[in-house]
Amino acid sequence: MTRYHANGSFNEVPSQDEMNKYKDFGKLTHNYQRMTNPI
Amino acid sequence: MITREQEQELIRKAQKDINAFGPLYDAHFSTVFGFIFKRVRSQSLTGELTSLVFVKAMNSMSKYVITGAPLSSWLIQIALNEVRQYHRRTKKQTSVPLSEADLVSVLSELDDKQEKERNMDALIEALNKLDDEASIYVEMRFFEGRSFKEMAEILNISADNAKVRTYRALNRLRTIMTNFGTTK
Repeated sequence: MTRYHANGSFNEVPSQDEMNKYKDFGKLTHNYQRMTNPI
Repeated sequence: MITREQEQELIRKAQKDINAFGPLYDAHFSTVFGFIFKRVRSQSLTGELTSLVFVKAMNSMSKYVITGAPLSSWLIQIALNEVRQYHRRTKKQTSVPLSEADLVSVLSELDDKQEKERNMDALIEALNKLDDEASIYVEMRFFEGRSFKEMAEILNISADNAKVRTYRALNRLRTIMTNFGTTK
């Protein structure tokens, strides 16, 4: 549920460097293989 | 930035070999991350949800039909569903800041000529009373500045329908604000 408060804008997002900390294609393909790999 | 033609070529490659999904992931990561972050306001949670969005996209890549709409619309559609599910599952409140510019963009559309300061309070109050579905239209149209065509591609509806639903949400906001004005 979203709760808005006035201010710090809606469109404020982390910097590209901060975002890139979560960018990992190797981990993504690993998760994908886990999801699709058939106790 | 990749062109529409390059993107379609990359999609065809990824449909044949999912390991070729990398360039599409690189091209759209920030867009999806930003979209989710604006709605959950936590970097680590956004990282998890973004990863989930791309795993689901990879899983459905073979079924993806190239229609001419950008791939980002499809990815944001998946992201929106993940955000909805997250809010439904946790029932946690996410505190989202709105700047004066955000609020003015809605107020100018409401064409309200009453006292600005009081309107801001009433608008915040009204936005918090608006149902989640209607909030999506307000966020996309007025805070993110998306066109009705873009909204339609994301929400899988026609542009006219996106417009109707947006103005329906605005009318609901106006009604809540009117009640707020009379009860205050």
